[in-house]
Amino acid sequence: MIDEKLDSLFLNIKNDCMNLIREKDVSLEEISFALGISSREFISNFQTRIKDFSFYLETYRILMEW
Amino acid sequence: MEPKEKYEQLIEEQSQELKRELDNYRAMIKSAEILSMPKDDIQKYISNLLENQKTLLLLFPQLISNLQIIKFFWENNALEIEQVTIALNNILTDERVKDCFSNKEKYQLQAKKLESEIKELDEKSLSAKASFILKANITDEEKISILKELAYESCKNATTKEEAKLQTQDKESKEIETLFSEEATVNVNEEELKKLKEEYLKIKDSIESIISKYYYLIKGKDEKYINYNREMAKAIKAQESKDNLNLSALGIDEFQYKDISMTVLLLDMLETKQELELQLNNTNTTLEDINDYFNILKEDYNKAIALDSILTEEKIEEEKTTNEIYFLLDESNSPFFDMDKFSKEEKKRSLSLVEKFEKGIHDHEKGKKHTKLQSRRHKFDIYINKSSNMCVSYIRAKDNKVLILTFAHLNNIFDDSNSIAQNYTSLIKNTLKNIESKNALFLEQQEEFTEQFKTIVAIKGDEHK
Repeated sequence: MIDEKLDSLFLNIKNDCMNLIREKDVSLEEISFALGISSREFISNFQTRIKDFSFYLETYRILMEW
Repeated sequence: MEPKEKYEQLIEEQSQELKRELDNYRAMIKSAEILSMPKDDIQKYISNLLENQKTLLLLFPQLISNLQIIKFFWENNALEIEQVTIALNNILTDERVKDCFSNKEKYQLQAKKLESEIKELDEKSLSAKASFILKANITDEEKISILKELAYESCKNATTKEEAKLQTQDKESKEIETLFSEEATVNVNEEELKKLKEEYLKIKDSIESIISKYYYLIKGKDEKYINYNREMAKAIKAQESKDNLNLSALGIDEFQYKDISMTVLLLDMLETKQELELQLNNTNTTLEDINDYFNILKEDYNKAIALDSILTEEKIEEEKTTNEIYFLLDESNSPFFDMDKFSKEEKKRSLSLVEKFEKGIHDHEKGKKHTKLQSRRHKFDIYINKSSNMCVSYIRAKDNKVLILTFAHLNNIFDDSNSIAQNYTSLIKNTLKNIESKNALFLEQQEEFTEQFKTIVAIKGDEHK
């Protein structure tokens, strides 16, 4: 139940982040830098859901304000 | 070892060596073919590229970042984005890839030649054997002995030939709520309720004060963003109320991005506070419900206070300025970077990053040109400043001083800095102590190195002008 909820939350945020990256043409290197991680880690975090959801919320926040 | 055994071993080694060489040429040819496919159908082109990325990365490991970018957008159905074109262009204009394109015919010829040599060796034709023995790195006596034996075998088995078939192996790569559901029992003890109200009033101002301090985190923010944070708060609560042994998400206090922790907490506090106040004024409520809400609010408040001290400390750190710079040096007084590996432009940018520190400008709030490295693998707060693709990572020492860990390209700065912080923890701690205690020998070494650094960077930077 919780896993399903978190998976769905992850997918929704991921889609919104993708749309913002696309709309604003944000470079993966730049957004990763702003988050304080490498672009490799950024990509990996979006490939498989990580436990620390603050990463997704922070990514979305930064992308909104980009 | 008998000459014949030695010969068999040599011939086997030679055959393996040639096969390795052939595999390499085949991979080169395959890579050139993959990359030079028509790009009219970009979906097909990228799909093929990603299916064969292992082959490409074996030959061109430097393409990993660009391939990852393409893969990321491919998986998210966003191939039209300009970054895909840029990444693809970076791959196709890579010097080693360009060499691979232009030498494709040469590789094909080499591969044919190798195939033929391997075939001869595997079939063990008499002429190939003899030719190999004559060239082999063995003594003349051994050569004669083997040739004699070969001549005998050849006469004896003149009509038999072994056929060895080449087998190529294609290695395919495929990676990568319900809260508070308890039944209410109407049983309000007036005395108890009064006590709870008084207790709440005592901390109400403090709760409102912290809410108001961090209200900017949610004020005017996008509704969807607020909802995501609310959903997060609910998910964490649901998780905490279940079996804690298999947590699917980290709790608020374990989040790496502390502003998000505070946002989630704030939204939770606002909701719980509102509900608690409603319950306190509701005559049909139960003490159990009120107690539940009150306990949750108190718990959130305590977490917010703990977070507030972390965030306030970070804010104070951000406001510091400095003009004292130190470099992390190993036991032999060498830094953790090699300026000679950088281009003149990169050296110039490194110098400007240092000069910025000297002017007391830190800019290490998270942003496009400065950031804080996020890592659970070490305890140091590491900041990174950027000028174009050149970065410097540093730790803020006491009294507004800066300890530079390393300089690196954007692609490497996170891994390099993490690796230094993990592997040289004691060295960093000792260096920070030396900075604080103004150790004379340490200061002398630093002065010497700083001079050396500036000479290398400044002179070579000037040449570029």
